[in-house]
Amino acid sequence: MLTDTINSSISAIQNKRDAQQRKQSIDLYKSALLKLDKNTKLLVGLLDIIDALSNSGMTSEKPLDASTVQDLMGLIDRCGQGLHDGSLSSDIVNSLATQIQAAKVSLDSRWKECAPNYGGGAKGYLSMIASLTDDPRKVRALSATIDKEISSTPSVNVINSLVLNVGAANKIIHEYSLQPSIEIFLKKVSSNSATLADVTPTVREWLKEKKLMGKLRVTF
Amino acid sequence: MIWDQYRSVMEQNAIKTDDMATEDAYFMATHMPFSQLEVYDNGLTSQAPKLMTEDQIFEQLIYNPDNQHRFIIVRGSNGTGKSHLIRFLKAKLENSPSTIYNPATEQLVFLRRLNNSIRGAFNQLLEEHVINDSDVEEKLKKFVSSSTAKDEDSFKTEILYAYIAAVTNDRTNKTYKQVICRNIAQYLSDSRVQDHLMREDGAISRCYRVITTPSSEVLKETIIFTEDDFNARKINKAVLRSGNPEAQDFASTIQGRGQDQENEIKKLVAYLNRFTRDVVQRCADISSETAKSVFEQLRRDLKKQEKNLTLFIEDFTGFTGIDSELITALSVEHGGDYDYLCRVTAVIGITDGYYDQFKDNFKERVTHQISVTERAYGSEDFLSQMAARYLNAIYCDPEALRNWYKNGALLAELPINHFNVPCEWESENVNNELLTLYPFNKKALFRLYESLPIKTPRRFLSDVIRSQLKEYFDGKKYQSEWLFPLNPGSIQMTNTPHSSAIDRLDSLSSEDRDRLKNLLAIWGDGSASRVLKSNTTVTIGNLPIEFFEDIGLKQFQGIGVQKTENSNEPTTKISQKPIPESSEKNSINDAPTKKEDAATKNYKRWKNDIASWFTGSDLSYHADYREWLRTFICGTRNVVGAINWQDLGIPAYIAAERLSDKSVFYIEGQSDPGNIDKAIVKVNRNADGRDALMALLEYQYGNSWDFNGAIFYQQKLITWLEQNEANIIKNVCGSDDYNQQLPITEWCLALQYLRALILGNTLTGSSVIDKIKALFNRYKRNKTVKHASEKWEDLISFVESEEASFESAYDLLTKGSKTMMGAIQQAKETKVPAYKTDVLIDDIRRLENSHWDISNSLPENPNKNLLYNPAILLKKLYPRIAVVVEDELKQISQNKDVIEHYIGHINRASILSTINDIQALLSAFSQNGILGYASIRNKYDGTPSIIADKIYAAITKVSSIQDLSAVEKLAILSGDSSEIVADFRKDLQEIERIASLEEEKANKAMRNITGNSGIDAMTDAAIEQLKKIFSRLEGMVETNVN
Repeated sequence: MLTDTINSSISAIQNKRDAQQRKQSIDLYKSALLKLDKNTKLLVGLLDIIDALSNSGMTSEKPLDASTVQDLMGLIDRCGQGLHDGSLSSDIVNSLATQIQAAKVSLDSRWKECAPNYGGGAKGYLSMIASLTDDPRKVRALSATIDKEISSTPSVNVINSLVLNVGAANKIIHEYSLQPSIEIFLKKVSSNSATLADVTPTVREWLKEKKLMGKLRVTF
Repeated sequence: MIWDQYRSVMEQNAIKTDDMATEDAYFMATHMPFSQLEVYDNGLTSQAPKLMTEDQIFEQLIYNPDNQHRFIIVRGSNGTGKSHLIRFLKAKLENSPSTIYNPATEQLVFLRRLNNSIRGAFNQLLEEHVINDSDVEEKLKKFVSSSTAKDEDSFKTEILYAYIAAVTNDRTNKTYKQVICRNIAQYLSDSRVQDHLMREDGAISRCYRVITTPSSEVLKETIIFTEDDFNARKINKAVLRSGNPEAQDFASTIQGRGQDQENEIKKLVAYLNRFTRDVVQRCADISSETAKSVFEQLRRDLKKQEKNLTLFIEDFTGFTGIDSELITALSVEHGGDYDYLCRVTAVIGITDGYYDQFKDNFKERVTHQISVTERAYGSEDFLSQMAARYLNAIYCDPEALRNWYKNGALLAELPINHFNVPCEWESENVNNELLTLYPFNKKALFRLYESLPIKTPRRFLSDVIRSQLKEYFDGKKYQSEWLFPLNPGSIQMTNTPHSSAIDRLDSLSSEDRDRLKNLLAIWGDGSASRVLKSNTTVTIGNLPIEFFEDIGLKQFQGIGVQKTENSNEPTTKISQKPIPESSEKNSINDAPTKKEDAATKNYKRWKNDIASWFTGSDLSYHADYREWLRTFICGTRNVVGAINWQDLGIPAYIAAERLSDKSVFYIEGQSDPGNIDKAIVKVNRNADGRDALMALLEYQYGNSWDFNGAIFYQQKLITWLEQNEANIIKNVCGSDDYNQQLPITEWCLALQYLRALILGNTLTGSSVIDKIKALFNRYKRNKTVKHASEKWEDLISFVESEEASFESAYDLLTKGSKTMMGAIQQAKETKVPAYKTDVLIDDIRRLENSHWDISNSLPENPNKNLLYNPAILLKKLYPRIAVVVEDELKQISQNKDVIEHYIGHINRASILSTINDIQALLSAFSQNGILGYASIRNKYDGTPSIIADKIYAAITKVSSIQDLSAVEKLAILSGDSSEIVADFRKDLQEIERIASLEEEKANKAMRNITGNSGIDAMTDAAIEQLKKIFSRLEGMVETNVN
């Protein structure tokens, strides 16, 4: 009978329409899920940096303020809720992403504050004594590495490397146990502004002690 | 029995078929010296010829005291006297004194024409001991004997294969390239082509006859193949279809009707004919070289014997096969490098056609040509002199003639006959002796000669002198069943009224009337006037009355009153003027006049044609006479026709239409047989018919009835019309009285009705008048109506193909029903809206009473003419309608079955429910973006109940006609009901198809949608990740708090 055929056809058409609608929802959820995965990876990385920075002793302050952390937690909670009930949307994930970006900006700012403080002194001393050391090139390279790391974007590797390099620099500096007068003299020499008047007896004594007399030249 | 003797002498001695077999005494007694022979000094004809007598030719060309090389061609058409001349020259040479002809120093060879075949010619060479080469002699003997011994079929096959071999071996690449020659050979080898060529009239049979068969016919030129041999389209088609590929290639070039194909066939014919010589050589197994040696050896031997050769060949055509070799051997001039050859004087008879085939180099070898043309024999004097000599030889005592010959055959001593002429008669002076021409006169001789299709002395002797004399002698011997005189050329009396009067002479038999007219037309002055020339001499048609008595026409005493002529001229002097009794203008003498206009020539031609027809010949120009008859009966725009159709109550349209086709005018004995069954106006071959045609001719020639004798002809024409008018009217009307005519109007109305229905037109109107008006419309096909049955379409095609017949019936209905009929020539222009309504109403009522089915009342075997055409058409239509209606109902039944399958029991509710479902489906389509199916959407877009009602009404209508007649069923089925049912069935099928299709598409799409695998795992992983992050952040918060 034609009626049966027609009814069957109409039913199939309606089923198809429903299925299409379902597929659309799944596609949206899947898209949000994939985006969430991407952002959670970013956030994990960020937390790893924070941990590294905290553990390096570069700063005594927390890299992220409490409100940022609270916001992140709130959004993570909402995302978790969305995953749980299947209502995860791109909007929530986008909010999380925005918050992660804000946390990253905050961390970068903290890094820019603490990293120069942590490595800047060692780098300066190395510059002064580099030419007085047995291997000036190596010292200068170490100084350049520290300088580069200080101006880099913070990461776990950069933080760990900076800690190691600053430790090595401090060891070299310690060998030359510099008094304040000596330090002043060396700074002038480094800036090509030292005169014979700066070669004080203390300085001459220090030079003799460190067997550096032959390494200084007088130029006009 | 003197008449037996005359006839025997004529046939056995004087005028034999082959004049060369004539006894010498008669040959000399009847020899008519040629005096105007055209002589050329070479083989060409570019210079003017010298005119010579036969004696001059003998003295200057045959007598050859200086031993000059002479190769003389005697040429002319068949029967002109070439052989006669050659024989005369040979006889004269033979009878010459030794100073002119000395057998000791001159070898005379005379090759006659025997049996008119190549075999006969070759046999002559053997019998005359011309061939001294034993090898050649043996081969020719073998050929002559084998061509007799072999059975016809195997010899024909041998001939055919000789042609095929010649073509195959043709490597000249001249006419055809070698590859084409191969194709031609394959084509000729095809069994169907072979059979065709070997048929009775085919080329190979012709060649066989030319070679072997003794015949009274003179051997023509060697035209073996003709275009008819290759114009066999069926055979060529068969070769193209299933022949050898090479044969197919060639057949394709000659198959078709175009000019190219005709030219190809001509080329092929000419090409193959060229090989005839080779074929004869091949069949005789002689080579060109051995053939050449025939005369060469003879000349060598004669030279050794210190003799010369004089050769007379009567007809060279017979030497086909070795002719060119013989010519080569004879044309070589003795002396110089050819000192071993004797001198030759060759006199060779050859036809003009054959000479034209000569290669140019042979023409150059000819030293002299003697052309025997009509100039030499065609004059009136020559003919009467010749006739007189032959008549004298026939009438003479044979012994006296033979003695004369034995005694030297001197012309001065020629015996003179003592034939008893019944009256004073014309004679010819031959060597100062008067030789009678009885029973001929000069006029008869010349007229009979002029009527010969081929004018040659031979034809004159055989077809004029011998034929006429035979009948004369037989008539005289038996005195009954006279046939003399014959009239082979259908020469007619110039005085038609006299001729007509003779035709009505009951005292004479029809044969005698014909004889009489022949006599007066050929011997006399064309009239039958009786004239008293002197006190004792009476002539009829200027012929002595005793002559009529002599040939068994004693009872005829002439036409009209005897007149007296004041003339002292003897009756034997034939008057050249016709009797001035008939019309001046129309009395045309048969003697040719120098200034004859075209109208007069036509007049003569027609007149002779009519006269010949009257005596039994076919009527050649019947188309002209039939046109004149039509004009006479139907009239023209300016002249009223001879029959007043208006007064007879016959519609002029019907008369005009019935007489519009010239083929309905039939003249008994017309050359084109026509169809006598179709004839409406018939002219019988009798005196009345002849007179009627003559009257029309005279009127045509005079362009009016204003000429002398017009009254006579008018009377004849009216007589003929009165005799035939009733028959003509009956034939025009199909009945004796038009008022009791065939029911043509009824037939035409029925035709119109059926035509309208078949073509899908609706006939509106309930009153009879409305129906008549409706049926007076012209109906064309209503293309909006379609039918389920293919047979209906076939019926429509039939109606459209017979449109001319339907239109003719329509014209018959509309024009034949008019009350005003008019004259024939104005019939087509009348637009009078007055019809014989009472007749039409009666017809409509009769048709309605018979439910428009009048098949039972139609004539069983209607004639094929305008009047019966409607009935013929109806007889064709009714059975077709029955078939179509049956088929249509069958289709409808099938459609209903299908519909029932889809919607269940057919009723309004089920149809309505189905329409609702269809609309729901279409709505679902629309809502889900399924586009297309516009035709279905359009058709079912509307109020379901209206759609359902329309369909249900149609089904109900076509379901309730089982008990009606075929035509009534047709009336119902001609509307759109069956189409609606068929459409509904198709729509249901289509809807089922698209519903299923879209369902399938939806299901398939759905299967593609269910692809969410992995989502749950991803979700779980994400939750775990978020938990860890949350925990770490929580740690940070605690640290911060701490």
